[in-house]
Amino acid sequence: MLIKKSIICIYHKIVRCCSYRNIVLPLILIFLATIIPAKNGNSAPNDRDISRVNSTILRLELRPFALNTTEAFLQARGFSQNQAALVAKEACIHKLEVHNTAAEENNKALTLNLEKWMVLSQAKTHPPIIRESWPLMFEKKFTTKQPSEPAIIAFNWALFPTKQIFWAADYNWGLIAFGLNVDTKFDLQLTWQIGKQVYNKTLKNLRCGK
Amino acid sequence: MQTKLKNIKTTIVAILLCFTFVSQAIPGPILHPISKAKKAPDLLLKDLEGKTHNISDYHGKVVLVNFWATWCPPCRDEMPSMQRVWDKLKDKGFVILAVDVGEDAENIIPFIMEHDIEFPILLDKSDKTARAWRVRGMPTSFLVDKQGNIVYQALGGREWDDAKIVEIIQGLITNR
Repeated sequence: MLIKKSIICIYHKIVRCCSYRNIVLPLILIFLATIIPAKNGNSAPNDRDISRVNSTILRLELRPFALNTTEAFLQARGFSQNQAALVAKEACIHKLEVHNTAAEENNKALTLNLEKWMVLSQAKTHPPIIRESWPLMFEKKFTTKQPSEPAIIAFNWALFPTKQIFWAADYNWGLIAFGLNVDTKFDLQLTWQIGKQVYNKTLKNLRCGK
Repeated sequence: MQTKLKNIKTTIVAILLCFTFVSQAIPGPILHPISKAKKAPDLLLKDLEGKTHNISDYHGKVVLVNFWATWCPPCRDEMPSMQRVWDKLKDKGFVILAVDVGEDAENIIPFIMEHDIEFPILLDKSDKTARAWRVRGMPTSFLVDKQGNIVYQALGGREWDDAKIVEIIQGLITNR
């Protein structure tokens, strides 16, 4: 009984000290600000579409590009409307961001090699389409009219590099293509290396933009 | 008593707000030192005014070589801080060569005008220089010492006027 009375007494003291206006409301606002993603234009995907990995010094974010975003991006780089539409439809473009979050005093190399990543969809597996594969793909895909050289150069630089070492505070972002049709569901096996240690993780139920 | 309670509440809210921001902060703006300093590759390019720049012309000065493009958001973000560090150190033996990869002057000029960028912007339309410098992503930056060696590099944007980075550059300027 005494314990119960003490608890009630403490509870009332807390409530008096921490009025709704002064404490509870700011707490709710801070919580909401932390969990609700910022909207970034109409084409921004929902937060549920964005996949994140936070593991030791790796911070990775992967977000699908909507079909019209990919088309607009390619056209702005110099692709024709038809070329942009064809690439966007079959490429399953995502934006990939990678940070090495190590502190300066703990400067470890984080190594990524996209050739070792694996896309799993409809019981088939294949690696992402790497930078080096695109020129040949363009040759095969666009038999009548090739994209202009400036367009190919700009697209090449917009793609995430195939192999890259990240030191502390380094980050990079770029496009990654999974070579699947619009709205296709897939899993992605990730591999990265910190020093000599290899790490793996599978991101489940990803989806190409539509 | 009321004032004391108010102070305690304010402190709690301030601590919670700090925690919210700090927990989302990225690590400090450090540069990666190159353990074995290597000679900078050739860099012979024209700027927006048609003037040719050769990195060997800047022997005896510290050069920040930055590879960028206007469509790259982190490249755009770091440019104002590059302008600030240039304003601060340009008369002390510091040079910035910002190499735009794959674009025409007409893509670049509106951005330069908008942000009052005054340091040289060089054009690497064919991306040959970026490849020679083994650039893989943008922005990538290299600090070249007075002897023409690459001594630091950074992948991704930095706040170039951050005190730590300014200290590194000043250290290279004062080194013989």
